[in-house]
Amino acid sequence: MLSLPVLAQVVVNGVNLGAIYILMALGFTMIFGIMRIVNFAHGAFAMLGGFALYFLLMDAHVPFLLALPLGALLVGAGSLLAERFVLRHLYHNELQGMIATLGLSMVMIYLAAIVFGVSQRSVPAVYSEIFFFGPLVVPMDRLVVLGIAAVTLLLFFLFMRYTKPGLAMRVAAQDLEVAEAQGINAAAHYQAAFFIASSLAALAGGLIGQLYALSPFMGATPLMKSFIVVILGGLGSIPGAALGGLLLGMAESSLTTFFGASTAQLASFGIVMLVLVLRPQGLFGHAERDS
Amino acid sequence: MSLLEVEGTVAAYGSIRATHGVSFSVEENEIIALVGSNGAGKSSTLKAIMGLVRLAEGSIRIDGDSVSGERPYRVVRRGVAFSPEGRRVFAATSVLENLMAGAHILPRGRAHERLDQIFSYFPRLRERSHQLAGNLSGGEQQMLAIGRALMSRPRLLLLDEPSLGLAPVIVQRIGELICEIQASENLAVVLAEQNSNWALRLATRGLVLEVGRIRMQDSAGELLRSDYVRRAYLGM
Repeated sequence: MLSLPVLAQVVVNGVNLGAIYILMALGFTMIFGIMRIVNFAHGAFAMLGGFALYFLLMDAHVPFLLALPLGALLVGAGSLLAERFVLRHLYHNELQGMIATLGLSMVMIYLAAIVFGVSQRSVPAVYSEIFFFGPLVVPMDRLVVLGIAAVTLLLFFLFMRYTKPGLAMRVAAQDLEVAEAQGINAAAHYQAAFFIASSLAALAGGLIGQLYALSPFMGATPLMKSFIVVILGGLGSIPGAALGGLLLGMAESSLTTFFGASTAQLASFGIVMLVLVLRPQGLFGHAERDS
Repeated sequence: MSLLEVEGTVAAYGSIRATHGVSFSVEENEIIALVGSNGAGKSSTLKAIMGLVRLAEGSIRIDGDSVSGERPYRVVRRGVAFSPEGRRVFAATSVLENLMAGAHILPRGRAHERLDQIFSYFPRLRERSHQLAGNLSGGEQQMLAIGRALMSRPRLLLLDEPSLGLAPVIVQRIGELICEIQASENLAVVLAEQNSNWALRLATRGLVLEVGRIRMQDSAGELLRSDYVRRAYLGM
């Protein structure tokens, strides 16, 4: 069972899974890091991303490579309504933010159930080619997922690292009052951060909808995975989310291959509890300081 | 018309009032020392000017235009900069990025020009530009906090306790730098300090704040000679 091709396959699947988890977790950790909100509605935005992709492909016949980012941006734009009417009033209020976004998530899920119906659909496979690299089997759709995730992550890192709004978001996350005293319009940057985070979730949702299945309830699992990733990486840490996502993807891929899917789920949540007990700041996070 | 006019300001945290009607004005090209003990309302007065605490009463005008109740980012665009008490550099960010954050309101090209100028005032910051701000010494962090505030090319610089927790030799150096920069940029500076002696020696004028009200207001020289100030604040 433990042969080179199997190991290679585990790596391919793990990296793929990890890429999706990172897309989900980045937005989740960003909203917490900057606005101090644990966004329980993050999974629901992923779900909307899945449906947006579905309708753009099926009804509007937009080509896949255009439909995916377009759907993500549409959901991101729509998320600004939630920002305006719900989240804006809860920034830096962790408990109320958690409860309100939990409510928001339920509202979104059941609205989707009413509008789209509860039956599972799937985004049809756009790419059916399968590549063989020696003994390695790589379906084209996985390669596309990987490519899209890689490009998105690169753009995200460049944005946060080298642009003025990226810097403004990073310093506002560290000290809001002092950031505002530098001339940074925090409210506008919060809006932008929320737009980016929801768009990333929606993009991940589109990819999940294509690789797995589409339903109003599909956001729950990616939300839980985001939790695991950011707990591994340290809540609010962007490099932590990247490493945590990859780690979780690889762990699930290998555990699923060798011990089955149930064991993989059990182990990933088991590891989270272990990390929380032994290293509560996450593997790469910093301990919270009193301010 | 003065650069800054503060009139009857009451700075409030929720329902708690930190000041009870503070009035003064700042002209261009002068250093004003705002002295007083801990809790006298110095920080709250500066923060009220910046829009960082709620202004329950009174008004604040820059060049005659009201900025009362404006968000901080708008006040910065009127030419006011603020270096907070305790320095509060962005610790997890490099020195360079701290400074660039201070230039948020400038276009990128002008921010880089300004960076060179700030580095010429604080050569130490140039040497350390790629280190994390949190790894700097206290004195270097204070220079960074002042440099960051200066990046926006302010006309009015508000400094909150820049001497706090620093060794006397560093405090002296920072005082020299404040005077040098003030003179070369024709800045107006408001210096809120518990170290009254040091602040009044740098300043042209001084205000003595006590429990949220202005107790005395005079030229710095007169205040340094006043019996009351000598007894209450200079320990003589």
